[in-house]
Amino acid sequence: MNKTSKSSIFLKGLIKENPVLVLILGTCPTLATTTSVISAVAMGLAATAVLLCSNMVISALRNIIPDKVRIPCYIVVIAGFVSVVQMLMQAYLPDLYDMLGVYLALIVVNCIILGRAEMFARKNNVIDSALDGLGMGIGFTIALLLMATFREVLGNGTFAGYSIPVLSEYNVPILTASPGGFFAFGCIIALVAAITNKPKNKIGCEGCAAAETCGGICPSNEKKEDEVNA
Amino acid sequence: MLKSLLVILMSSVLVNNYVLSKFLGICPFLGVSKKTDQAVGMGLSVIFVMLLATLATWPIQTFLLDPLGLGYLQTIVFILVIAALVQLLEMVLKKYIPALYQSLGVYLPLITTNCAVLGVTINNISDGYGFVESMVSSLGCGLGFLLAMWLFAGVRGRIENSNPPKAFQGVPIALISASIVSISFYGFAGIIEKLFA
Amino acid sequence: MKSNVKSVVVLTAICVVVATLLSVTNFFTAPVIESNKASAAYDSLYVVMADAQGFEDVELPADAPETVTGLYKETSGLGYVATLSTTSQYSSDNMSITVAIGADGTIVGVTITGYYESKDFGPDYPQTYVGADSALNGIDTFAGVTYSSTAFKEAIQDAFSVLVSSGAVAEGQKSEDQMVKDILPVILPGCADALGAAQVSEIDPAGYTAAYVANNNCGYAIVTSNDAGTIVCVINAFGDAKCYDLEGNEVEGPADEVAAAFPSIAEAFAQRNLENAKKAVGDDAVLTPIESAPSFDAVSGAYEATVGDDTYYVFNTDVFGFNNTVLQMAIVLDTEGSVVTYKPITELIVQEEYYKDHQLTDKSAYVNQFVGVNEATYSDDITMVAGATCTATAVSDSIHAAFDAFKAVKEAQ
Repeated sequence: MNKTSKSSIFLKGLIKENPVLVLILGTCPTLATTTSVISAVAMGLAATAVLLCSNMVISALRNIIPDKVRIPCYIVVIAGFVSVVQMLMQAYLPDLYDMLGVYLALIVVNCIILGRAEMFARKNNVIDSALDGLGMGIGFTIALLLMATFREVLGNGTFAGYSIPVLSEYNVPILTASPGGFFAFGCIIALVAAITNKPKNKIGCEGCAAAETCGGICPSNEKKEDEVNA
Repeated sequence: MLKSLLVILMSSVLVNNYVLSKFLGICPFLGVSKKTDQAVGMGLSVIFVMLLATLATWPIQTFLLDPLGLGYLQTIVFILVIAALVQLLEMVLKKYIPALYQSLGVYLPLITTNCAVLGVTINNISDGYGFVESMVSSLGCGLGFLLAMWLFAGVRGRIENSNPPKAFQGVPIALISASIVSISFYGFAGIIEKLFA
Repeated sequence: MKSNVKSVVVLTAICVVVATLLSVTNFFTAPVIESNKASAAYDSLYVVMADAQGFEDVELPADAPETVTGLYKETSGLGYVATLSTTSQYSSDNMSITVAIGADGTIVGVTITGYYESKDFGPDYPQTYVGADSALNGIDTFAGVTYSSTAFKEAIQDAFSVLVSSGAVAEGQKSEDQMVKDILPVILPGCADALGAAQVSEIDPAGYTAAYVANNNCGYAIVTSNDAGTIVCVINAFGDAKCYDLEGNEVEGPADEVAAAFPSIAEAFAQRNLENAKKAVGDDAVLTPIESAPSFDAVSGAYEATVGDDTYYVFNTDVFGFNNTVLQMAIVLDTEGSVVTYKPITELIVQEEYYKDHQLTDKSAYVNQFVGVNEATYSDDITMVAGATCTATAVSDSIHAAFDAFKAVKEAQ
């Protein structure tokens, strides 16, 4: 594999296949942890760490793990890394740990992570998988940061806790509440759709590990994304 | 006792609705809510799995992990238990109650990675609920999920027939509608305490 | 079959490896998490006891005052920290206090948490408590913020009561000054404000140990000593005197001697009292000053009034109202002790008391309620004014003072 494709593996997660904005995966943390920039970035980095590690391990074990039990194996590996991140954050970043609450543990069921294991890591070598995980993770973080900036700046008049003149007096508090989460996410996806000129008719199921089994129910049984086969 | 259980139930259905206020289980909420019967089927399956998962995870945490000081294994044990439960349930339904499997079984694989199920089991522990309270809270969260799915399916039906700006077609307009449904639930905040105070 | 075995083996192996990894992580993070949790729970306690090594919870005794919300023992034996929560009349919020009491029974630190009261007494007042023991010698409430500072002081006393009664710290020895201050409101009730604290000023002791005059001029208190120890003599406005020991028991003492040493207040204020009494009973009344009335309530003057064939008693009362402003009233009683006229000389409601809306709009109707009331039929219900509690208390005090003085006059006759 040449250098260009290595960088494209990394870069595709940032924009072209941004897991949140383009593939519309990981919606739960995107909505839940973007009330403030700090919690959004913390969530994004925690997920990136898990994604990077799990992608590497799963890729390394790709020839050992039997196809039949691959999903349980992936879940164990991912849950393991999530627990490690949980413990480290609880020990060294207790404030952020409290801020993220249950959503930290729920990285386990974040479809981006299981999706990258299923879609990429099990078919590619360790370095590519690491790049893919890093790219996707940073893409996830960027998307969360975008959402959180929109919600915190307009909803609370602050950015990462720092008060912004004028805006802090004329804010829209509902943006930081739950309805605002849906609204902000809807607007941002519409913006992306307008820029790319591709309406988002489907919710992203292609990354969902259970996508094969949902058959006709999952609205997104369109063609799977192109794989970069090892 | 009964009153506090009722408070837990009502607040988890209305005030702390898992989908609309805590953002758990958004994927099925957006993905499987285009038709009312699908939404209800999914909602019922989630209630069933939530109750079953709590039935299994609460004793595991209380009688196994806590006494042995293995609280740090919570996440990994819970997700495995839920995954195994869903598999088991699928097999049992397929074999013994095929009629039910026909209606609910198709949703089961989706539920393993439904964050609402893992979320409710973890929340029950971190909220310090006892066994009965945990079961009631799971039932409430499940009912809240069903309610949100069902209401939103109705809204989705209308959206299908509308013609929003091109950029908003599909997911964006669904999210904006979800925001409006969420506002109506937002109004429940504070009601529960006043009601039972 | 072979593939099934392999699946199980691989899955089990992964589980074991992951579990091992987690237990290793846990081994390193668990102590950190544990200490984080411990310090978070006790964070606010270190503010008042900076040298503390650690804290452990102490179970509160069942009879502990409800003001005391938590009690913690410093693990290296430096002392205790108590968290307190008290309501104060001027705020809907509870005032939360954290106080550290050293092993020697003195306060080492105190801080107020979460109390947003516009009439706050500021950060310096709590610091005056540092170094005090359970006797709280020489610590007064804060002038102008009486309610809040009294609530504060009582909360601190509650914290001490829990620690002293459980034997955790030794009870502080009250100084003589403090003991005098403590019994003054009991033996000279006229000088007590609405919260039961003595409002007195120190004056020239004229050869005695100490002397105080009540701020509302209802009498003097003189501290002296004889063979039995320290005694406190109180002199009312008419020059009647009684002596007490520091326990508050009446004792033989130089009552007449001290009474003679200080000028009679009733005489000093005779002109003012006479004018005020006339305002209540009318200019054509013939007023004869009553020379002796052994009442120690808030009465500064008393007259026997003759209007035509009728005889009345007029009492000048001086009671503490809002912010301890002295409110003057003249109260006319008939020979049976029933109120004939209740005449407020000063404004009933001090301007500042408009802090809350009050219902006292028709003042003459309010005071007319008291006509015909005697000691047996009087109840505080009729003096109540919602939103003007201080005034209502003062009115009630003045009526009680008049009844008390009336009884004393009747007994003296």
